[in-house]
Order: sequence, then structure tokens, then C-alpha cells
Amino acid sequence: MDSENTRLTLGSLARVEGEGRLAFTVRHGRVEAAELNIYEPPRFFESFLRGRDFREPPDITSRICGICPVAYQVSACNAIEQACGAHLTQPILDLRRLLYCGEWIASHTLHIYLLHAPDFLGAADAIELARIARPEVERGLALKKAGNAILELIGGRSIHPVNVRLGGFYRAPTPSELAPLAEQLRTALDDALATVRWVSHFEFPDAEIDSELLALAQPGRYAIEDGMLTTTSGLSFTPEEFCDHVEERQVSYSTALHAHLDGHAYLTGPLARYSLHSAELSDTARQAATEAGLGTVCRNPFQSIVVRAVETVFAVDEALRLIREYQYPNRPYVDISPRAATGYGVSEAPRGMLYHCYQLDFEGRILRATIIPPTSQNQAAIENDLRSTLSANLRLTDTELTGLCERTIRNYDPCISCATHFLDLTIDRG
Amino acid sequence: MTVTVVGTGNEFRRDDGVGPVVAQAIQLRNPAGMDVVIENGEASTLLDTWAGSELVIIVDAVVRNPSAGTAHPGKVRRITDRSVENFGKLTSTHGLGIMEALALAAALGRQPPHLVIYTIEAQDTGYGVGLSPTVAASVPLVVSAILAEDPDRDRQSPG
Repeated sequence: MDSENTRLTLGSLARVEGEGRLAFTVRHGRVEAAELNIYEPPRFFESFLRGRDFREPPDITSRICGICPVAYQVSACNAIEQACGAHLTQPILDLRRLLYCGEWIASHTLHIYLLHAPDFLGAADAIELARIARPEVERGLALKKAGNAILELIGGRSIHPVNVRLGGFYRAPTPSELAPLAEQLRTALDDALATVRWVSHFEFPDAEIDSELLALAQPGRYAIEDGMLTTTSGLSFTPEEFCDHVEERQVSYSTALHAHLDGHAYLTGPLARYSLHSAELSDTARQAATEAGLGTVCRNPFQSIVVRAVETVFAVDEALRLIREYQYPNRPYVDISPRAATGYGVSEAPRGMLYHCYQLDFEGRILRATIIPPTSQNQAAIENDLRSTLSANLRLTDTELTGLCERTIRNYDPCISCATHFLDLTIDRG
Repeated sequence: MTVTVVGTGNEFRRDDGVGPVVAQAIQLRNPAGMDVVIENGEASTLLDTWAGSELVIIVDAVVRNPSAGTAHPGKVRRITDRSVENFGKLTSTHGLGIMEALALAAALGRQPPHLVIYTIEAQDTGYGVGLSPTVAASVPLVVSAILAEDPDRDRQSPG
């Protein structure tokens, strides 16, 4: 071991989650191409799930993302439980929704405070923001901690929860264990409401995305952990029918697949959920949205920060409701027997809809697995947004454009598994 | 004194998993007064992890910047200097890591009173589990160094 004066650049940490490059071609003042190149190699999860036992995907796929592992666990459980014809009891389903609320709170708050807000307040990053807006950042950290507390209590730990199993949970919390959590969440609700007020006063550039929007729908409530697929063009279909409408395509410049809905780019995530189903939010969340100046539809990607804040209010409010009405399950899981079948599962990860499909043999071995993450679904729409942003701002310098493009991409909170240490921007101006 | 040992890294990326391997080895010895945690290195979680600890010891793999000269896989360094020059630039769109956690803690006045970072230079950060032999050979050295961390040893105060 030595302590000599070697200069280490600790930015080069080994944990490389992804890399990205954005290339524009401009000819005669027009943007001819905008290519978002994800050059991280494919992660092979779909391949190495083949031959594994049907009980393994919730744990294995949760490793795809350190920020939204619950989404992977729930979509995997939904798909395999459907394949096996399992029916979960309501208390178990409620507990799953409660766990997912924890992930929404933690993930949205991380993005709002540490990644997105600096863009609006002229701060280079979260650290500079902490210097100029310390009380707000402290509030954000406390709010995120409340989300983590749910994940720790229901999931066993906040990163890659270990208490989730096919059919439910290894252990259910007792009502007395939930009481202190409710106490923490009541304070978090005030913090979440203050967050909406804070971000609603940011300055939002004029922008409107015209992509089709896709989000899950559940009768009588804001969909999180399951649902039917619905779109702004009026489509409504089941998870089984997802691949009849959505096609993944390989593009030559990127290792990430692009998804298209009936041949068109589309968007999933907070703007889609809110625009399609804001009426299903809780009274408190809807009131916060109204006070923040949001209509019932929001298509300005910069305002996604407000929608995330509103959804955080909803997730805290919903978690409090679920704790209030909690029924301690007699058994924390239902038994599931394998059968030769194919199952389809969906859920709303904080950054968008996550689809899983598994084909099993009669012993429960996985024959085929398909996972379509939200960032892959959104990538074509993000490119379209980048193209129009660039077209409208060609007078800017390359440095200014890089900053603007980074902001544009951050509006979509892309997933850690396929997005990236932005941004290597190449502009070919001819 | 409360001591928190934080092992960070991804055990599915070969040598990047050395932090968790070291943490597990220390956990097995159950040293008195030492909390051992394995984290993914996400900034806001780290701030909570070390809240209330007098001494925080972070163990992580590093990849040497190619421009910084010859690589020495398995090389262990003990770092107590946390001047801002050592902080990496924030480049991720999504995650914030250990260096950002330290900078954020400094901005919020939530630094641990004493901090030691052990880095182990990685050889292989490809897909898969298991350390390369060179990096695995460094694990016992780091484990005994951490167990021998003396509260009075030369540590730099925050600032």
C-alpha cells in the first residue's frame, strides 16, 4: 500500500452505468439527423434469464436499475404470476402498491432536487444548488429518506429490496411497525407539497411535445403497480396485446433498441400518466396541481418537474392511505405452481411504463424473456424533441447547445441502465 | 467512537465488486464498534448512512485514468485528503456517486468528522461475478488495514 502523491482522477470510478453520444447533422440551416447513440453494450439480461427458474426474475431483473428496482420486481412478478394463473389477495396487492409508492417518492425526489432543479436555478450541479438553496436541498433529502424508509420496511432494504417474492412477500410488516412510518410520511406530505410550490415558480421555456402518450390505467385510481395500457389516441389494450402495438427496432447507430407504437414514436412517464389520468389523482395531489398552475393535461417537457412533484404528493398521500387501511395478511404470499404458459406484466416505473414477458415450460424453466424499459420506449420521442430543440436554436454555440440538449434529455429522467454520462455532442454543420 | 465502513460497487462487474467483498469480510469478523454497510454509492443514501458516525471508511474500486500513467491493478491507496480538486466532475444524468456525496455533504455541513477512503485499482470491470486474482489478493491487506484503523491516526479534519 502506498500514500505517495499520485494524483487520482476519482471521476473515473469503475461503476460505469452507461455512455451516450448525441450526433446532429445540419445542412443548409436544417437539422437533417439527430442520433442519440447509446454505446453501452446490451446487458444480456433477457438472454441469461433463459433456463433460470421462474422464481428468480424478480431478484435478477431488479439489478438492472439501482434507482427503480421495485419496478423490475413488480413487472416480473406480474408477468410470471399471470403465466401461472395466480391470484394475489388484496392485502398483498396493497402492500406491493405501498412498496412501489416508496420507490416513486425516492426516485422522483432524487431527480427533482439533485438532477433537475439545478437546471432551472442556474446551478452547475446539485452541489452548487446545495450551496445556494441549502434549506430546499435538505428538504429534498428528508423527503427522499421517507421514500427510502418505505423501501426498507416493506422491501427489507432501500436498494435492490430482498423481501419481494413471487406471490407476495417473505414477511409482512405488523401494523405497529407501520405506525412510525406513517408519522414520518405525515411530515413528508408537507415537504412534498412545499416541493410543488417551489418548482411551480421555476421559469419554463415554451415547449410542447406532440408525441402520442402511453400510460397504464386502473379503474378508480392512478395506476402504479399494474393496469391496462391506454393512449392519447384512444387505444386501450391489455399487456398481452402490447407487442401487437409496440415494436422494438434496432437502429444502426445505437445498441439500445427503439420502440414504436403502431409505427410512431411515443412517450411514457409522468407527462403521459398525468395527461391521461390526472383525474384519478388524490384530492390533495389534484389541488396541489391546480395551485401550481397545471391544467388537466401537461405536454411541456420542462414542466415534467412539476408533474413529478405532484406525483410525489400523490405517492405520499397514497402511502398514508394504504397504511391507514392496512390489513395484516394471514400469509404474506400465495403459493404459485409453475405451468407451461406465457405471462405478460406491466407497471409504471417512476420514469415510465416497464414491460416484462416470460415464457415458461411445465417445470417453471424460463424459455424466453422480453424486457422493454421506459427509456427504450421513450428514446425515439426524446430524439424528436432534441431535433426540434436544435432546429429552433441553431444560432447558439456548440457549448450552449450541449447544455440545452442535456437539459432536454434530463426532462425525461432517463433510466440509469441506458443513460449515461452525458454528453458527447457532435454537430456537423456541413 | 462510531465507525462506519461503507463498501460500494457492483458485484456483477468483476473487480468493481471489491468494495462489497471487503465489507463482507469485515462483517464476518464482527468488530466491536464498527458498522459495516454495503451501498451502491448513491449520494443521498450515503449521507444518511454515515450520519452520526465519527469515522467513515469508504472502500471502492477505481479505474486509473489512462493519461495518469502505468496501471497497477490491485494497488491499494489510503486517501484522507478530500480537497475539492479530487472531486470528479458531475457528468451523470442520473446518479450521484461518492465524490458527489462528499461534496454535497460539505455544502450542507454534513461531513463525517473523520474520513478515510481506500481505493483498489481494478483490472477487469467487465460483466460477471468474481474478482480478478490480482485484485482478490489485495482484499486481506485492505481488511486488516481497516480493522487496524486507529481513531488517533493522522486524519485530516473536515475543510
